[in-house]
Amino acid sequence: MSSYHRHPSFTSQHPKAGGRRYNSRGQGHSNGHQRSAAYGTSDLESRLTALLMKVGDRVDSADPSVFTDQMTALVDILLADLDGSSGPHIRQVFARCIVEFPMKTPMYATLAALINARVPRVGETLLKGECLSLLQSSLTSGDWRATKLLLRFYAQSTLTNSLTLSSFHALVQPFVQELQSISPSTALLRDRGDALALTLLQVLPYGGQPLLSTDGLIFTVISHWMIRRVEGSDQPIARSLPLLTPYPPTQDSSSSLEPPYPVVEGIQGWYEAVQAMIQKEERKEEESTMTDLDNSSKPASSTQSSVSILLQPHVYFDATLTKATPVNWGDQEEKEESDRMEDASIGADASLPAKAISTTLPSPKSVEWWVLHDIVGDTIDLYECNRREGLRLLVTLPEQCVSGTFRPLQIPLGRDPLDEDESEEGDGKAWRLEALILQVVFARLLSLPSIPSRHVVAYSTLTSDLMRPQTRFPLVYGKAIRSLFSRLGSMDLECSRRLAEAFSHHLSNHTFYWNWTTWADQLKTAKEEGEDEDNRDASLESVRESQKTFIREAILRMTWLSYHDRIKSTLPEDWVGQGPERLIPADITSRPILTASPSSPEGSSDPTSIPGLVQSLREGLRLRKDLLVVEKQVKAFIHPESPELEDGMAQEEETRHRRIQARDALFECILEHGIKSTSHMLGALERYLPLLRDLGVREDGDAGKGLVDLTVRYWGGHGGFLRIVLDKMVTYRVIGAKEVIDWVLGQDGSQDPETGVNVYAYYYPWEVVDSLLDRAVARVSRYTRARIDAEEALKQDGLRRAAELNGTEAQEEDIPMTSGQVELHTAVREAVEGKEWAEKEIKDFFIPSLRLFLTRMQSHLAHSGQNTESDRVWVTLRGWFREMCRRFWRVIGGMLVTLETIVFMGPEIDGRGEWNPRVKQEIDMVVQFIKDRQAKVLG
Amino acid sequence: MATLVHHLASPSTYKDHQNHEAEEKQREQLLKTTALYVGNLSFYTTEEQVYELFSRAGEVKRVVMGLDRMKKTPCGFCFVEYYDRQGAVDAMMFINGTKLDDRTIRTDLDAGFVEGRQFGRGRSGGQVRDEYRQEFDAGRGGWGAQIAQKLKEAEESRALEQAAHFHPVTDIPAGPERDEQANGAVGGADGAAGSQQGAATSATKPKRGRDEDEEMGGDGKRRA
Repeated sequence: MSSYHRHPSFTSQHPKAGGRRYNSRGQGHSNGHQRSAAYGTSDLESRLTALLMKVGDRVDSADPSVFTDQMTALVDILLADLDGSSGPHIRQVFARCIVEFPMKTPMYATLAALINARVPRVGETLLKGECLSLLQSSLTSGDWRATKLLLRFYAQSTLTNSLTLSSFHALVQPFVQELQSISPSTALLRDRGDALALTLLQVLPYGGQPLLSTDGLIFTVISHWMIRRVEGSDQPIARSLPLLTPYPPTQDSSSSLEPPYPVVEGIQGWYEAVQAMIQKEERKEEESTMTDLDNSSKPASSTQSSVSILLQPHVYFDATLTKATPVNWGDQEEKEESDRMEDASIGADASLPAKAISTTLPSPKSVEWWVLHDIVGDTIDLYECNRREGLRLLVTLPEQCVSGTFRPLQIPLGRDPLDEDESEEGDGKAWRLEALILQVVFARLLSLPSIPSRHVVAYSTLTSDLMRPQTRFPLVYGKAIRSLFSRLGSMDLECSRRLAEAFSHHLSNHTFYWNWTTWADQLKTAKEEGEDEDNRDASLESVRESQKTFIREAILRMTWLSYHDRIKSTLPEDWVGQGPERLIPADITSRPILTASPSSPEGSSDPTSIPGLVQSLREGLRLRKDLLVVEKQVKAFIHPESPELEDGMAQEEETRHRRIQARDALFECILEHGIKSTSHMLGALERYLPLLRDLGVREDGDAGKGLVDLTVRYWGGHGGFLRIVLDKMVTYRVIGAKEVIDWVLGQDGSQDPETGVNVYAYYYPWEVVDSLLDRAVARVSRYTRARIDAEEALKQDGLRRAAELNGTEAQEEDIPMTSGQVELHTAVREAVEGKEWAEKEIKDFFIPSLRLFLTRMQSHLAHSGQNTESDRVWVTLRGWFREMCRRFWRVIGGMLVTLETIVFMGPEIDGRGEWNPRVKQEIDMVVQFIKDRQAKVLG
Repeated sequence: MATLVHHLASPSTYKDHQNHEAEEKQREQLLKTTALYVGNLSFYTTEEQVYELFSRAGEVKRVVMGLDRMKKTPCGFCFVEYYDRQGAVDAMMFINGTKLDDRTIRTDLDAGFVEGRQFGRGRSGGQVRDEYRQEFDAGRGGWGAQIAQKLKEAEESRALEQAAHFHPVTDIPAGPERDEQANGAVGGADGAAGSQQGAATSATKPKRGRDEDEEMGGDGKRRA
């Protein structure tokens, strides 16, 4: 049997089939070189692709012999095909593998080096061909991640003796030159320079000591950039706007469970870590120079990456690689570099011993911390479309690292997962992969200024999938949540909301099990401390309120995903019931009796009385009576056959009054129909929508406000359903978005006696508003896209017609338009009109929202005093306002003049005509943020 | 070259046999669809729960609950339609395979809901998979329809058999007198205990007190 068939990956038939024996068409795999229509590759190519994707999957640094055998076999297989017709495909796949498996960079560099050592011509093509093309296209398209990963591969290749150092310098020369010449005068140039510097910083550690210390040029240029960046710009690298820094950066580097701040992308952090690494390398070099005086041997580290934790598989092949001729596309030969491998004395056990790694957790100032976070973050992003594969790669990350870098994931059988493994700290099993992955996930979940809303469910699903049995993932997750819970007081409101949403979804995947009593005790203690007059602390009270809101919202969302009674049964008794200290009502089934409900059975037979109308409407809805039938009943109520009133005005007034009564009765009956299900309600709404409109639901703002109040009163106890109903009512244009916004922002912070809801005690009312604003914005882009599509289709049609007319005497105008063309012209016109209408709607939504926010904040501060941080209403209002400005900065950026006018005109409700300094501060901050974003993104 | 990562939002190999469109057309529909089929739901999962979960991936246009063709009750599947395709794709990536009501749900891109598809296609009115299911599944109505039918038939035949062979007692026995029982004429499983107990007559035996009850255990068995 050939080595090809011995390879463990052989059983996988298709790279995308997950090891199934069927191709994507479900027809079973075919033999030989038959080409697959689905992917345009032959079966052989598919198998080679699968082999390349699995390189280094089962490496065991303790016993590398299996791995070396596999690599040697793979090189044989690839060499047989790289020269043939499959060559370009293999090279393309190889390049893709480099940019799609961030943790395997050393593996691919080793593979390329082995190929180069065996057949230099093939190796050169592999390094120069598709990899370089992909690097070029990544740069052109602004794909910085792919650029970084490819450069890391080339940096690593300088260590594996497959690429000369001068060639690598030639490769990064354009980056260095541009960074030298760029001036941080504008936001765009600043970003460009940051991206260049960051990419180089992320690449340098992979090149090891030779790359860092040969002439130090690259790092020197980066250092100059950092200095110019700080001096020549009013924009600091680490932003200090409160809008963007919700948490203090991690002070205690020893705790792995601290939230992962600063953000992974921080250029400053990378810079400091690489600088520290260089200093360390220099010290080591000095020491080795001293040692060299005694024995003239070069340090082994000269062929190792400076990222000490990553496995360096090329050291297993030193005998082969030292004899290789590195690829060189630099200007001059660097003999000393090619000699480097020959001089180095590398043993098969040259991987860093476990003792070399710190026995504590990685310090955020070390380059290892940054590299690991970078790899995990890249994997999460790259595998967003396939979380299962991403998860597999994440949990096998220790296999790509030096043995003993991470503690084992699996808890030995019979051992309690709750037992801390502190005893292991001294034995070299230093870091916890669980903590690392969850740090990165939470960093992404809570990053500001904003993330796409769909990413909340993406991250919560990822954490749910991570909770594997017999691992410490659940324990670490629990600790992370508790740690974040304790920081809720200083957390941005948007982050708290995201956390509550993700947490509720996570628990719904794990039988809703959570130890609530700990939090219940904490809240109780905090309350008792708060009641102590001598020690009253406003900030403690604020933290407690934030924590209560978080718990309330998480529980509420769990009830939406499950059902009220089930969740209620898992909670401490103190939390269930009515009253300000209770977090969840004891019962949500009771709903108010309809205001138009029959008060007595006697009256229900009279169709001109309210009870009679309600009776017939209920019957109509239940039996799905035709619109005309119900309309007739309603008209009979509005115009009863009664003796004519002498006074025409009175008659008119009476009719108007009865119309409103009929409208409310119909609306309430439709709401009541929702007890069965949302679809029942929506079905009834769709059926009787013309009648509702006829009864004047959109006549004026008061009508809409009344209907919103009715909806909230009826469904206020069930926030999830209320959210759906309000959303759909706006979609069907039964009520206007403005009325809903008015309802949310028009509250004064106390519980509404009518509806029983205090909007500021929850997050979901803001979500209703946010969804309305978001939809209005999406509408504009939808119409824009429709116009572009229709215009493009028209253009294509015009070209086709021109081609048909070519050579004939006829003019284009002579030929009548086809029905298709008419449709296209109509589509363009409709898209243009639609866009104009949608843009007007945006103004109608956003300007009142901005005004309402400012007015509400101003009036609230006027009444409540200045102790703002402990004031929950203020914190909520401010949080929502910031979130709106962060999320919709593009739209609000187009209304800055309006915003400034509102500010200039002064507060309407304050007789002094001056904005409260806190409100003014918020406005200034938001304006600054928007202007900064505009400058950054729009140039 | 396209990415090597297999996208989770790829349609499965399921083919709707009642969709009479050409295969090519169906494939095109799947490429543009905004609708999802959601399977393995509990019969007790409500539309609002589905709405809540799936709206996290995008704006839901409507949810159509799958119903038992005969009973018109939920039968464990539904269709979720989004306003745009991205919502459906995101749900495939992030919600497929997660839990709703403690059940791992399965989603698949669907060519689009048409009237009639909301009903189960099994012989008994539910889904076909519930027709032949061999396991007991409390969330999906207990046993599979065919097993349930067999159990029902067995129960009926047992009842019939019992009715055929059972002869009702016409003379109701009076039962032994107490004295006879006390003298050991009728012993328990442990005759010795029975005879010891029988030594005390009903007149002389003291009434059992609470302590004795506790010593005996709630179930009347003496604790070790």
